Amino acid sequence: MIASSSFRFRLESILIYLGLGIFAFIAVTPFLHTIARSFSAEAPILRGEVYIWPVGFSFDSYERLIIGGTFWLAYRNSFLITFYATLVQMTMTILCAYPLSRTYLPGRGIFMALIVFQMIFPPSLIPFYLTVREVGLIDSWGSLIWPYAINTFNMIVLKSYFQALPKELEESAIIDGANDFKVLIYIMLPLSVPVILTLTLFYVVANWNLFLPAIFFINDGNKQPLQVILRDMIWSMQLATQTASADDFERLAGMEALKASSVIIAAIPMLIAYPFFQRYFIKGILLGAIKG
Amino acid sequence: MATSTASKSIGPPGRRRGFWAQFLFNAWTYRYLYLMLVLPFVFFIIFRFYPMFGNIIAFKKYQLMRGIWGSPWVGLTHFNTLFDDPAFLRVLRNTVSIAAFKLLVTFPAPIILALFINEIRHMAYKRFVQTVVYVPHFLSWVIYGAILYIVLSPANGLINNIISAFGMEKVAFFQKPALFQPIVIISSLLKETGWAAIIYLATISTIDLTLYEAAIIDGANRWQLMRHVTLPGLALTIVTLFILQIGFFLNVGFEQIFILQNNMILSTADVIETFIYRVGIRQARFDFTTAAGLFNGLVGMVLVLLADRLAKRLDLSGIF
Repeated sequence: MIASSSFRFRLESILIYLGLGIFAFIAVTPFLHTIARSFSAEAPILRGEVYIWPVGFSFDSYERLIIGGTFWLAYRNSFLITFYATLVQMTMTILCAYPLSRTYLPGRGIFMALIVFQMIFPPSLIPFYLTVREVGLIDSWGSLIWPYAINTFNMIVLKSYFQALPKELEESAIIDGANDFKVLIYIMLPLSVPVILTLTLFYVVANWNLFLPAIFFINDGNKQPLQVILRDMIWSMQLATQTASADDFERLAGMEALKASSVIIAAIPMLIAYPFFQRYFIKGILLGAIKG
Repeated sequence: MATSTASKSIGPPGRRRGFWAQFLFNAWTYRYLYLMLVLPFVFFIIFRFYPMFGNIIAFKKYQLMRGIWGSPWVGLTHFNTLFDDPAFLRVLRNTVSIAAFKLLVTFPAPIILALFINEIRHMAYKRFVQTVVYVPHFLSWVIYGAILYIVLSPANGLINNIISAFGMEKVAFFQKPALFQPIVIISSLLKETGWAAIIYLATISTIDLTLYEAAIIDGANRWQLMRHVTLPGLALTIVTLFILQIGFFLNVGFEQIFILQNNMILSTADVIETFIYRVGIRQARFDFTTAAGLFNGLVGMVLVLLADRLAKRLDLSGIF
């Protein structure tokens, strides 16, 4: 775009390219270090020799984790939670967004005002916690799903999208004798596939990364999602390595590499899905931004 | 049925009816739409509005047996205790301090990143940089926090390896109160800056190219283009996001701070939300911490409303 190719311009370009490269490198280095550790033998890690490349290549820690089996439970729980929660959330979001996108609907203004009010003044933690307890959801996956059934921001994005679809589509279908459910399912939803997909991914990522609600509401170790199980593992290993004395060496064998490989195993599903998510997420962000 | 439902798209019925007659008429005409709203309505009532009334235990002495409604009133006692409690004042100070740093550091960072990414003409390199800086956003704070623990490990983490390679003394990063807030700021910088830059990059792509051409003909260099064309093009987005940020000033990142804090460094690491969780849910002091939550919520509400007012004054059509 800029025709100038003076020496100064080129020098600046090189510096900018370099600067961004350094930023990207710094952002990604913690991962490289963790990956390197997970594939390293324990001794070089303890001696502080591992930087971003494995030293004394070893697959032991992964073997221990895979045989140990805790992660299968964690994966299973998180997978099921993500599946159920996303299903409920998408259904509820659609059911809420569609009627509110019909500008002629009497009472719509009151409903919207209530929704805006709870955005400005969200429930604080303790009354929210007591409510979930009163409803009887403590220690069940329902506590991770129902209290979070509608994300207001996502709902408003979808509402605006429905609102922007041409009115004639609905009118002609109604004249043909379709009711609102049919209009929604056979006309509106097929026209909204990109936005539906994007919102689904928003929910999927949020549910997969879900942590605090499980800390609040779930005490049963067998029901915890991946994130909580991972944190407990890291904490207990951290504690073990910090309080260890020299003769504990056997008990601690491989702990550092194990810590790193737990993190990597927990991160893998997101990293695999990332290229796919990246594309739709960017679209989604722009949808939210353009809505105005 | 067909005729009555069709009437809604044509417009409001011409005949005047009484209130209840009109109500029933609407309820029947739009029954399917209202039916869709039933579940969402129940959701909002139970999980968003009912808890708002639960806030009254901030003015009561909560007794498990008598529940929220039956417990005796105690007026403003909890608020008095709260503002006499040095632990809460510390919490308040930490919250404001982290919030201010986040506003000063993590707010401008994505703007600068976007301006520089925009200068890359080499498409493959541009895509590479973007892909790399977006990744951490998708990982949970649990995973990112664990990675930080590993990288900053006092005995053999990457940073301490480098420090000791230069012959300096190793640092126990997570045991020094003075280092907690810098760690919070830097880690959110590394995790979220890339992602936050997307919105600015998208806005930059909508700037009219002829503006650049005209400026180049006038002899503008790279920095002048950035200063006089790109930044003004971003101004509206920057102001909008800044106002939004002010509205959510006190939300300093519950999950992040909860994961990174430990008992050794609570003096700088405890913020309102973690305080409410620890004292409220862990120690079951529901009434006292609800007072803290109510205070937090009211301040938040005032800030959001002020921000909204500000946005309207600046002709940004408000946040909501």
